[in-house]
Amino acid sequence: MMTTSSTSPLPKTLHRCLATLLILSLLSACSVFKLKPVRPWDRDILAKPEMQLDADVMEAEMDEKIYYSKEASRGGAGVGGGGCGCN
Amino acid sequence: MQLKPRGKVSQALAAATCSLLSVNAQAVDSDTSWDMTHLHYAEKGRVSVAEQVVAMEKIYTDEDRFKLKLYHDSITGATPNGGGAFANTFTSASGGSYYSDGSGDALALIQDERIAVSAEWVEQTSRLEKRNYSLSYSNELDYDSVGASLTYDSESKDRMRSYNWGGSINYDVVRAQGGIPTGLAASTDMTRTAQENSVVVDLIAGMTQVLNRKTLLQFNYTLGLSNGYLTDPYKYISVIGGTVPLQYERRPSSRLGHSFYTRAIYNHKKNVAKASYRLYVDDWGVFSHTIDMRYRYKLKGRWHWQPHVRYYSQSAADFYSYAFYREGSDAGFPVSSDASSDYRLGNLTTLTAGVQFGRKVSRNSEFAMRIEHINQSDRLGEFQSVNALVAQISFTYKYQ
Repeated sequence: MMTTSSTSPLPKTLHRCLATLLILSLLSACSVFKLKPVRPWDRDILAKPEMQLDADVMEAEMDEKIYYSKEASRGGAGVGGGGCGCN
Repeated sequence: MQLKPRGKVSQALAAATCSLLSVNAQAVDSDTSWDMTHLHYAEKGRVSVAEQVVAMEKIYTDEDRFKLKLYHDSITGATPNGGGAFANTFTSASGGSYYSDGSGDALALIQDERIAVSAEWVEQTSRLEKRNYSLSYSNELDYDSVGASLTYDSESKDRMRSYNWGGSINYDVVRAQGGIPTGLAASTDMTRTAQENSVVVDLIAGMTQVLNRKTLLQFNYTLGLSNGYLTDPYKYISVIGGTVPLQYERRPSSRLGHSFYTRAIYNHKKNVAKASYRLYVDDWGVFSHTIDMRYRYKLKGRWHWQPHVRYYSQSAADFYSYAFYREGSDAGFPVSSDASSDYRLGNLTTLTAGVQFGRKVSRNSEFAMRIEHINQSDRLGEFQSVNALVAQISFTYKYQ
C-alpha cells in the first residue's frame, strides 16, 4: 500500500469555504459602499511613488522568483514569471 | 543542472550587465528611468544564488513606454534530491554529484547560470486605457523558456477604479544534464531522453479601487494552466519495502491552478502600510495561504526603513510523500503512480522577516538595501528546516 502524508489544521473544504467567503466579501465591499470620489487636487498622497502598485518593483520581482522556486504556489500579483528550472 | 562550465555568452552578458551597473545617473537621458539591483540568496549549508538585474524604461511624448530588462544569475551549492529516507546511501561527496551531509537529507550538487531578457511595450491607447505587450527569453544550461504576454488596463472616468485583464504564454524546454530519466524508473535505469517541454498559460483579471485619498485596494484572480513535462528530472522518491529503494519521481503532466490575491495600500501620516493576502488552490491538491505585510516609515532627512514579514502555509500535493511505503499486497512492487518526495510539494510553512533601508539620493533617485531571513519547515518534521538569508541592494533613477 502506498501512503502519502498530509496535514492541515482545518479540513480542506472548510478552508475553501472560508477563503471564498473572504474573497467575495472583499469584492463586494467596493460595490456595496458608495465611495466618495477623490478629486484630482486631492490626489497628492495617491500620487506618491511609495503609494504606487509597482513601488519596489525590483524587490517584488526578486521575491516572486525566490518563492516561485521554493514553494508550490504561483501567481497572484501578475501573469508570467517563472521561466526557470529553479532548484 | 549538474556541474559543467558555461560558455562565453553569459560572460559577455555579465560584462554588459556590469557596465550598465556603472552607468552614472547624471549621464542618462532625461526621459529614461533606470533600475539596477544585485541580490544574494544563501541557504545555510545548501545553495546560494547571486542575481543582477538592470531595467530601463524610456517614456515617449505620447506616454507610450518601452521597458527592457536584463537578468543574470548564478547558482551553486546543494539541494535535496528527494531520497531523504535513504540518505545514508548517498555517501560519495568526493567526485559524485549526490551526497548526504549527515543531517538526514540526501543532497545533489548543482551549478548553473541563467541569462534572461524581457522587453515590454506599453501603449497608451487613450487617456484611460493602455495595452502592455511583452516578450521574454531565459536560458540556463538545462532549461530554456520563451514567453509572451498581453494585458489591457482601463480606468473609470472618475479614476476611482481601474481594471486589468490579459494573459501570458510560456514555452519551456528542459534538457537535463546527462539526459532526462523516465519517470518512476529505478535509479539504476540508464534510459534517457534528450529533452522534454511544457506550455504554461496564465490568465488574469483584476481590479484596483481607490477607497479614499489615502487608501487603495487591489484584487486579482489568476488562472494558471500548465501542460507537458512538469517533473523535476533530478529528483528521486524513496520507496521503503519496494523492489528498488530509489525511483525517479514523476508528476502529473497537467496542472490547473487558481490564485486569488488582494492587497491594501494605506498612507498613515507620512508612512505607508501594505498588506496582501493570496489564496492558491490547484488540482494537484496544493492549497495555500500567503500573508505579506510591510510598513514603510519615513525617517528624518531622506531616509526610510521598512520592516517586512511574510507567512506562507501550504498543504501537500496529493502525490507527495517524504517516503513511500510498500506493504501488504503491494510489498515488493515499485511505485507505479505519480509520486514525488520534493519537500517543496510537502506540508510546508515559510516564515520571512526582514527590513529594508532606503535613502533618496536626489529628487529622482533612490538607493535601497534590505536583508531578510527565510525559514522553511515541514509541519510533520520529516525534512530538515531550510534557513536562508537574502541581501539585496538597489538603485533607482526615475524620470519624473
